[in-house]
Amino acid sequence: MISENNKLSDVVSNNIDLLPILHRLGLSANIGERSISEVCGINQKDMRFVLGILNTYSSADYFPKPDDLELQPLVDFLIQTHNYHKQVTIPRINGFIEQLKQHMPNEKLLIIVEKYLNQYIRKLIQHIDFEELEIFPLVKMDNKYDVNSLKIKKIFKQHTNVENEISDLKTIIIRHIPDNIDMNLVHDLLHALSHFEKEQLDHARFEDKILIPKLLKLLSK
Amino acid sequence: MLSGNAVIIHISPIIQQGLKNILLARNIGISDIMNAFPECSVLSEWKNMLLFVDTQYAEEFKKHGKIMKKNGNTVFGIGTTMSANQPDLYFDEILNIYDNADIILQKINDYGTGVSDYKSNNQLSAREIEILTKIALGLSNKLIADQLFLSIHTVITHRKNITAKLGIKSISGLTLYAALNNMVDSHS
Repeated sequence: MISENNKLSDVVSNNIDLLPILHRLGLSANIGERSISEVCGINQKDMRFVLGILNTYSSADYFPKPDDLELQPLVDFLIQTHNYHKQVTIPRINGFIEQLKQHMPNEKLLIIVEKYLNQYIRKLIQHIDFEELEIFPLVKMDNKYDVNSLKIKKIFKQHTNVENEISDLKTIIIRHIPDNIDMNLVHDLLHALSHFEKEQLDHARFEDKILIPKLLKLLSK
Repeated sequence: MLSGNAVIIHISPIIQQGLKNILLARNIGISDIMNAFPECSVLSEWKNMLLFVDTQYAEEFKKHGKIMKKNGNTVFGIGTTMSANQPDLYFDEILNIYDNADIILQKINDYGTGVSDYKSNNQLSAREIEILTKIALGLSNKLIADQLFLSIHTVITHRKNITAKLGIKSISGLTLYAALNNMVDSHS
């Protein structure tokens, strides 16, 4: 488990996928030889929140205590994550498809996968919009606000679909890799999809296990 | 791989040619194409053949149907209506003219006809391919059940088996799989 006295550089060396997480937390500067506690102090960040996020991303078994993650900072972090996917992850994946298509413009796999991805991205953006417009603002509302809890619970189902679709896409690409394709690019694409899938799973865990229960509890008061 | 052991008996040149193309694409050779039901003496000479016969020859089957199935022959009826899909006394399997190529090949394969490169432990059955095709076209369980004269429970069981065999869980993923394997039009 990651603790306050760990050197932040060591933590990232052990799991480089935490680097974009640090960036979203506003902690990518002044890492040097410093501990997590010191870096949080310099950047004026809530260390308990930072540790809760880093540990959740590092271990699927880790479950932060309810008070470790306050609602508003969590929502801000989730919005940062949405933006990261819209600005970085999705364009990166699309870029690999485009590069592959330049070599093989008539390849059926690429044509169909591109179509699938476009549909997937459309659904994901709708899901993100739903969360940002309908769910996240509830954090700021007063407890008497009449909220339909079914609306909140709706995102559980959407998460399951979203996760399975990326996993399925990887499986299908691997089974249908055509001859003469640029295998390094396919590897880059699959790596990007795997990273995206892992991020989606962790993101859904924050929302399903932490955000939604806390929100439902808050609204029931 | 088989060579020259299939016989097509059907009056329609469209069906003759269509079936021929499907069989040849899987290296199943055609030994003869007939426009009419053959004489008994011809039937008795066939051994270990794949016979594709129009189900409309009702009278002829009553007379010679049992002879066709002797000598290791496998008899596939070619049905021309949506309801003609059940094997009976004379047919090992019914191929429906509305079946796509994959379903036809799977049905043939299910009878151990040697198209070994097409089948593995995880290969879908003809019925599963039929259901997967309908899932990919966006049909609900209820509609699939109605169209195939099955209970919803049976359709759900088939869906679970499809997911288990393919390792694909989402409807979008199943649709993608169906499109890549020519079960549905990739533009749809």
